Amino acid sequence: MVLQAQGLVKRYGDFEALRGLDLEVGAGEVFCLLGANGAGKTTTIQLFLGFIEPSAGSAKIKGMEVRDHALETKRLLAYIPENVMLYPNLTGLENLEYFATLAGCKDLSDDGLRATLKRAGLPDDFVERPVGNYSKGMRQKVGIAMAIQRQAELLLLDEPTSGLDPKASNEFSQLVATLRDEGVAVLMATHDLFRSREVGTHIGIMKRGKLVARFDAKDVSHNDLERIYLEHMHD
Amino acid sequence: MKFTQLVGAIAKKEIREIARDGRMRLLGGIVVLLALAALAFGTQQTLRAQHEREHASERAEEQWEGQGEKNPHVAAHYGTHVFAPTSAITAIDPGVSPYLGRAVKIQAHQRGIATFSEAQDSGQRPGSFSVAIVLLQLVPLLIIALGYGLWSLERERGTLRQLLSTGVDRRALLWGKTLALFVVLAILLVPAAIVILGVLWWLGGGDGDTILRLGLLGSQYAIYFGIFAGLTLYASAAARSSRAALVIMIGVWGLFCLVTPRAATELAAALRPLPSQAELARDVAHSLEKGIDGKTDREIAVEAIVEDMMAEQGMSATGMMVDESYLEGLNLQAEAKWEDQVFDHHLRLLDDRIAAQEELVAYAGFVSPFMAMRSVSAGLSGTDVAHHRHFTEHAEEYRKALILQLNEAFAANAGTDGWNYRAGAETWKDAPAFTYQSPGASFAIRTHLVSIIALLLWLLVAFGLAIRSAKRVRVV
Repeated sequence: MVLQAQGLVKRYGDFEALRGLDLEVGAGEVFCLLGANGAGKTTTIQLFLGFIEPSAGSAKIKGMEVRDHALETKRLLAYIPENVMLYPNLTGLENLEYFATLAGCKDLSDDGLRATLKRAGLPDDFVERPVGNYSKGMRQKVGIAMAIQRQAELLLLDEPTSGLDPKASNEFSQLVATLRDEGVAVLMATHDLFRSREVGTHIGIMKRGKLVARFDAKDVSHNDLERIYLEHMHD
Repeated sequence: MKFTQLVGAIAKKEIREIARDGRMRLLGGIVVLLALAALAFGTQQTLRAQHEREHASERAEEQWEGQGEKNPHVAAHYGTHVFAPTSAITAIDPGVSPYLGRAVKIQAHQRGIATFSEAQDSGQRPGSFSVAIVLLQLVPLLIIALGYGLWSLERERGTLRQLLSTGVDRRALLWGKTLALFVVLAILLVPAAIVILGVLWWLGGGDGDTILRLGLLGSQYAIYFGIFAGLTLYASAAARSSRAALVIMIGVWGLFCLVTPRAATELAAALRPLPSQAELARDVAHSLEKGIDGKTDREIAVEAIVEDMMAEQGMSATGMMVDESYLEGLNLQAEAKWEDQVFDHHLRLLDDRIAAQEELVAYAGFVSPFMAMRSVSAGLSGTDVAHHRHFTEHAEEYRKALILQLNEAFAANAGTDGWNYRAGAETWKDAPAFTYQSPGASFAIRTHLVSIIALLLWLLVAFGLAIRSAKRVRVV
């Protein structure tokens, strides 16, 4: 397993944001976490990023406890949040070079970086423009380029298509699907039922810090998924 | 990737960002322009001081040698002037020199106190705008402006989360950001420093001691800037927002550069008060009449000194007749000795009190690095109180030697002419020349060791805090 959560709990005072989450994502799998705001999706991702520490349970990446191997586990993953935040005064190419350098990437040649941005779908004429001029979709593509450049084994996506227009959202999903097919494990928190059915291999529905439903994406149709989701939301 | 390469990459990105921020370019340009303007003023003041000294020294020498025939002791009353040299580094940091005199009157019966300060001449507060003030007060503000957002803005715009998700070592981030701050400062200040060095060379500052002093000054300022860089990085990482970091650092700057200097000076004056000029003059006058102990009559004491001098020369016990002029000469020497004892005593007391005040102010360097750096800067520029005192003490030694020589000339040559004796040009030419060598850089270091230690301690504290906060910087 690339990613594994066992009895994962996160408390903020009396409030339990996560209540005993069990989850596994293997290579070439995309686990989509659905749920309303506050269900615990982002908390789960932050626990795997090591930005917050669990109150109980374990979060492991490739068998390593995140809490104990903060740097090693981060070397294996790439993170794309709802808004990929970049340095507005630097170009897309410079941003990619910087983040790839920090992540310890070996190939930092100009050609290699340009090829990665092209593969992520960034238009050529934007490669050397300051990121301050980019649309949200373009920034998300730079985020994907970072993941490609780093050859990450695990992608943590936190509502990555939120606010994207349908075309950009579709392009993004295609890229995720490509990475999935190349063997990358993906944990994606999302509100987008359609995209999760499209790129996900597994789907889980979270509610009040718990995973209340889990199934294989291929076993449900779009309509079934919508119905199941709404049923859980109205409980 | 090696740690140092990582630090370099982080620094490169930070420098790129700062360089592309028009506000930072403008701010940096203003500081450099202010430094160059201050240098222009400082150069003009230094040139004027050097010219005035040269001119006044020549006039004093001409007047002394061309004073015509005169009784040596009368000549001692007219006296002459000696002048403190103006070092080229004064153009950078005038220190206290605009407020303290640059000339000492050499005369009989009066210990000279330095006079003819620029402040007296202009009736204003000269020297308040100098390269040192730009370095001491404005460059720290520039560091704060450049550095307050290095962590906090990353957090606010969300790039910190993105950064730390790469698994980058936080220490590398800290040192990269620190390196970037120093490189940007260097890009701004090194060209200005080259201009300053060129001007100092032109002002005659090309000797070994000046170069050593400049090197030490540069290293101490680097430490001073490092302190502000460390504290700014700490505030940037620890504060809740970039605005809070900026407000905190402006507050710290105000505390260091505005509040503490005033408070320390007031406290030192309250704890170790100095006598007023009138009080000092009254005490000296009383001691001249009644001795340092307040019980010894001047005439009796002077007679005793004369007897001692005669005994030293084997004349008291023999009952031999002594030339009246010779006796008068001995009497003048005895009076000078008596007066010297009184002056030395009172001025030593005054110096001790000033030193006690300075000590208190030096320890304020542990509260404010500005205080420590201000002392070190003036010390290495040779414009502090210690260098001034070194000059006035040397001038006093010269005064004693000159007066002694004139009184001896009177005793030896007056003969039966007594007070009617007139010495000529030969006597004035034979008078010892005033030569003064300013103390070396080691004198400045010894004098300001407490401040140097305070600066090093501040640097450790600042970077200790910066490292601690970098390890704990909040991501969410």
